Amino acid sequence: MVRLVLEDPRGRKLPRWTPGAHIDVVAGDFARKYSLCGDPEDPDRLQVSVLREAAGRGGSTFLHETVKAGSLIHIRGLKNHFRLDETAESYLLIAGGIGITPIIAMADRLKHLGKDYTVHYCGRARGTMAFISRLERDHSDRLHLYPASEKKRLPLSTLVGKSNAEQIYACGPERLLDALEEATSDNPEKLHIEHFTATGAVLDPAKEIGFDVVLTDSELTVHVAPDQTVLQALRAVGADIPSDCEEGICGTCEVPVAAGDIDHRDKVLTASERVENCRMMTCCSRARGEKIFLAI
Amino acid sequence: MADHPFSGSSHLAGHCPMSGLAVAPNGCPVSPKAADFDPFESAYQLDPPEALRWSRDQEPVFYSPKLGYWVVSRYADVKEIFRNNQIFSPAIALEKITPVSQKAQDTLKRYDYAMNRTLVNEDEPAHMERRRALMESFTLDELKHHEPMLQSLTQEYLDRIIDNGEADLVDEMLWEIPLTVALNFLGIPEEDMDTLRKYSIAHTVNTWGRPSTEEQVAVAEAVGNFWQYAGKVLEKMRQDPSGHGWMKYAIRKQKELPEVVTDSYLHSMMMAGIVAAHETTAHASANMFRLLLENREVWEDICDNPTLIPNAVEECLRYSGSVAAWRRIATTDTRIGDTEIPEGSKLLIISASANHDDRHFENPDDLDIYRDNTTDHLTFGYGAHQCMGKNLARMEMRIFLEAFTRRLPQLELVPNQTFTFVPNTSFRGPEHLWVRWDQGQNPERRDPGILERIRTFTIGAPAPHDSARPVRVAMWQSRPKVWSA
Repeated sequence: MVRLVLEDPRGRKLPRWTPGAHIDVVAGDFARKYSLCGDPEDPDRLQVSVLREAAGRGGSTFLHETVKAGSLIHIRGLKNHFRLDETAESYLLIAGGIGITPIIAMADRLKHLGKDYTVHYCGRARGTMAFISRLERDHSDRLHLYPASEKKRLPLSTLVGKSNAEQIYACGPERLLDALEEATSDNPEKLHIEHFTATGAVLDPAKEIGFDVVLTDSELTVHVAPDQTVLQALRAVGADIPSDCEEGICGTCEVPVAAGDIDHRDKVLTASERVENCRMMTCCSRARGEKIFLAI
Repeated sequence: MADHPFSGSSHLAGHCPMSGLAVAPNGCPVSPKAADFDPFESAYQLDPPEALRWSRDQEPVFYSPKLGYWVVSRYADVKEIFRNNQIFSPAIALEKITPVSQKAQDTLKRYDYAMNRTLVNEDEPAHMERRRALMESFTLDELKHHEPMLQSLTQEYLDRIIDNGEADLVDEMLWEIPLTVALNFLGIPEEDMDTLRKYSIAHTVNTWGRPSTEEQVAVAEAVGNFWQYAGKVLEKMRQDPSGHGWMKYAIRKQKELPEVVTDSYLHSMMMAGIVAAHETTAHASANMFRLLLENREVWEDICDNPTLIPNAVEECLRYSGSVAAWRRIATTDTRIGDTEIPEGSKLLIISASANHDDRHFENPDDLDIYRDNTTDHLTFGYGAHQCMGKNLARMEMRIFLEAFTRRLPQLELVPNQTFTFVPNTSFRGPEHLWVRWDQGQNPERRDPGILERIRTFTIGAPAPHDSARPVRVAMWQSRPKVWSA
């Protein structure tokens, strides 16, 4: 794990950010998304924490081995797809592993606003869990730690069941978030989650089928070839679809679905959102049949 | 609430009690700020998003008694209204926002003025049938044909002023080139361009402005002349409709689909097409140069790194676009957010305000050319009626910006100039933009090769890698020290 503090090479101010915001760190052919932590009031610097992932696409390796103090790198954004709704009175904040980075920024903000909140943080062992001393310093009376090495398990269903919190914000590994979705299935609107890993599926034209996308607002029909993403096909006809990670984790390329059977391959939509069938991520998700209808 | 009958103040919505104020058509009282709102006054004319800030924060949909319109200011609402063109019909998009005097109406009549439906204000299903029939000229491949013409026009106009050291960019360039491009794009014969040029401005004042009673007659004269002359040019083009040009394409298409592309349609389209392609781009370009030169560091970034141009253009369209507001009419009782909207309500949807909505854009009041969702802006509208010429406009603005940052990086605004605007609700750009530069510093005097080193860009929306922001790693810390800070 490393902490990177970034500044403008010309000494200018960087964009202000709010808890839940992220940037993409670009290096060569890859861009990886990192939640911002640190002090949102500091206009000159942005801070991210990067976990080394052996199985990653080289992003974390690059940031661990190639980059050093003084290096010039590129970032994209910032953006916030995990925005903290500040209108609620009580909050449950849940983090697994490096998912603590957006959560700590949220905890800081909620403390500042004088809201009722608790932080639940699980990880392998205290020594591997980032920011423990900082959390103990600033949020001690709100903090619950669950290091697996100490045989402490995050009691998710009890926690969610007993909590009166109006909003739940969670970031962490897939199985933690899946379990949370399960536990909140009665009140899915309470839960706000952010994934930080993707399965990284690559399009294999031999295994994909082509299909038509009907744009109901523009009344156009666009064919998506087996070697094309919906996003690429839409851009080719001049549609302005913003995109970002292009791997189904950031939610930027979301479009509304009017009808059709969608093969959802992203990590953004919740199970209930998939059942609703009213949106899709164009960078990775596809049609199961011959035709889908998008409300754009 | 859904079946609220909207039949006047005797049927009040439960959540909006009377308080002695004016009453909106849905029975709700009009707040003092809503009552004060006047888009023809300087606050809105100078800075539409700032003039609507209170609305975005407190009353995102309000009735303006001065205008007789509902005003909509938040991003999500404006986009939804654009999206839903069944409930929110574009039929009034070209209606005169200031009622016209009888004398002016009579004047227009003398010219047989019959501006009818164009793509802009037409309902379904006729609209989409025509839009699709006429779309071919706007595909990326077709637009590519116009690039050399744009490059050489820009070079030619810049050559004229490059050694002057001072210029009004609007009068000497930004007003002229988009008009010439518009006329070329339509396929208008060279010899008719000058006459059409003269008449085209009158249409804006006629439609979106607040002309006095006397002005109305003069404006009507010009609009009438414009209409008649456009008709003559159209007849001439019918003689030989071969070659590039949108009107020529439409004339050819008429043979194929006579009931879709009608005569009256072609005539209206000719006039509306000139205005749509001309003023919007001219104003957007003037706004862009003003904005970038007011933000010197940003200008210098672009001079140093021209790959930033596509995203910078887009950010300027977001921050200070040339189309500030557009209009729709509710075809049924409906609601926008929490506000009940009766059938027949006229809506002024402020895209300039939507583009500064912090519910959608982070730090919306910062000009940030590295912003990576800036293409979400609503300056081109959205949905079935989205600006067909958006990629032509982008191409023009990129070519202007590329040429100036390459040939005149030392350009600056003449200090202390007062910017003026033609008062109207929708089209926004300074009437003059004075710039100056030390011609002795012109890079081409040292290195004439600069004239050849033109950078071109892929047509269409900016690519994601166009907006990467350089940063320096100020600190790199490996654990465990990191946990404490």
